[in-house]
Amino acid sequence: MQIHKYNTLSCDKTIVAGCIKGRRNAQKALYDKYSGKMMAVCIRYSNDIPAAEDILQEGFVKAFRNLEKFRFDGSFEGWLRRIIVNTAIEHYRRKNHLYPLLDAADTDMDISDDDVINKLAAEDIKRLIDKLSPGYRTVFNMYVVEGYSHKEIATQLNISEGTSKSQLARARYILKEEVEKHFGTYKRASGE
Amino acid sequence: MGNKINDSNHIKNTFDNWEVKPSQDVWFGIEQQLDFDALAARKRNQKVVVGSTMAIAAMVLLAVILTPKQNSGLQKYQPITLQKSYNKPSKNTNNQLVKEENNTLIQQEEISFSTILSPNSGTSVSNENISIEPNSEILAKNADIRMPAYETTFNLDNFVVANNTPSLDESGIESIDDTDNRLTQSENFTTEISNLTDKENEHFNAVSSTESEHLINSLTPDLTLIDKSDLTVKGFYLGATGGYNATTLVSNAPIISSYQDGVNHFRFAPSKGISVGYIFNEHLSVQADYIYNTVEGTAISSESTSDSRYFNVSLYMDQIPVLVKFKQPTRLPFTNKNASLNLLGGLQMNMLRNYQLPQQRRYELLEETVVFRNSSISLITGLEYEVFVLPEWLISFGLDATVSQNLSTFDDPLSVYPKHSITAGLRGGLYYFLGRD
Repeated sequence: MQIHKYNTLSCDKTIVAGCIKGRRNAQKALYDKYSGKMMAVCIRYSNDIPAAEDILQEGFVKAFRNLEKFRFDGSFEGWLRRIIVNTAIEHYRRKNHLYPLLDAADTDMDISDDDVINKLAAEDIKRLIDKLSPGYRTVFNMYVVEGYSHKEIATQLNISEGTSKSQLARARYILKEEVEKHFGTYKRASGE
Repeated sequence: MGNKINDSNHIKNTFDNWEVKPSQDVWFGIEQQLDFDALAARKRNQKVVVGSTMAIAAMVLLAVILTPKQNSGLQKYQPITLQKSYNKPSKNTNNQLVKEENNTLIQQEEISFSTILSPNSGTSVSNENISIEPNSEILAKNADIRMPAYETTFNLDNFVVANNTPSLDESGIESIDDTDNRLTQSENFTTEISNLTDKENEHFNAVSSTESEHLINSLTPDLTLIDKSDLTVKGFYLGATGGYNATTLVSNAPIISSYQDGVNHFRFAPSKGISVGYIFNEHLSVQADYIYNTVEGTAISSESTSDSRYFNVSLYMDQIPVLVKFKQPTRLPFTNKNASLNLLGGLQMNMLRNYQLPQQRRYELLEETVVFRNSSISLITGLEYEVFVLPEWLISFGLDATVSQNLSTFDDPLSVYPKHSITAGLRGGLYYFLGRD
């Protein structure tokens, strides 16, 4: 009997082929290779680790079930990320359907202290984003990090484009306030 | 604006390379899901295999049902051999026929066209399993048709009538008194037939053929040949029974009081169980079933609210129908297979296992709250065919319907709660007959 060995260094095509054949070690290798990055995506969309892990688990299961649909037209990571993000959005919808996104005026606010932002690590930015409500956070993540257009966001979240824009503006405004607070803390901590 | 773009790019780049290690539980959960998927896939495959096997078995069974028995007792009698038998015309023909046919005893495998034509219907068959019910009017009519046809068609001078023999046929049936001369007559007849001119021959064949077809058409519907060997058996049988029924709960108003605009619908549900029965004779049998955990109930739809809603009311029951089957020997449609057409009538005892109501939680109905009677009685009726597909194996298939007595014991808050259940659908069974010698 031929024993197939897979690890995180194996190419995606080989691992995916093994996964499609139902080989558990291939599935584990794929999970090990991408679970860290995908967990980071999940954390951005959820408030807590258990919720993020739920999204991650559900997303990976979906991916494994639909692997044969992946044709290697693009990167596997991009395909997997899309599944994880969609799963996160579904979670958001399920949990927040009672609190629909409301229009807010687009105040064209920006996060002015870009120097500060540029010095922040991912964890710090995440901490800032966590200050946002689920609706703002979702729109912010989708637009800024994932690169969705407002039209796509509107479709995914079943809201209008205007609402998406206003939510993003509101998110930016809140972040700006948080950065200012953080900036003060940062300056004090670094002795500047 | 520039700040926005810079911030966005930085945030995007930062998060793109950010990794967080999830806990081991995540992979365990994924493995569990994948195992479950694999198990479900195996079950699906098993279902496909079982379904295919059942479909093939059903097709084989259907083929067995639709294929007439070969080499069975019935086969001997079934073909009413309509050979061309050329009755030689004679001046005394009519008298001879009347005189000779009264006590003709037909031997097995020798039923022939000319015998059936006998104007008197005293024909009997020696085998007790065969009943022949000739229609004397048709026979007389056909006899009438036959003779003039010859008289008008043929030049009787061309036939040599050696004696006053009324008829001969190719099967050599003893329908005449003068058996000594029969062979000679037949030979002479054949010779004379061969001496006919082409035109006469053609005409003769045409008339004979038309005549035969006419007689086949006339006789077939009225001649009932039924092999009663499968129908006269008596004894016990055991087996499995099943059905697929549309069920509903009858009420004068929508069932759920808070959805007055609701509409009741039939629910469809399968039933399965075991059966035991006893066949008394060809006209009567009884059968009792035990139907395990079947579902009755209704579905209610309501579209008054912003979103349409659909509820199911389910009653889970064990049922014991006791049926009397009034049997009528017959044949299956589209085939010559012997069967019994059974009219069913009886009572069914319903024992409630559980029930589910959509508003159960809202009204805080507890388990001990009795909303439906723990037991109830239904009237059951139906119609089915019953066929021996093999000597010991019996199948039945047909339709049935039930209506129950008042099921409800509870009026508040379900003030308009249904009082009766009604079902209608298909029934079928496969039984092993223990009574065959």
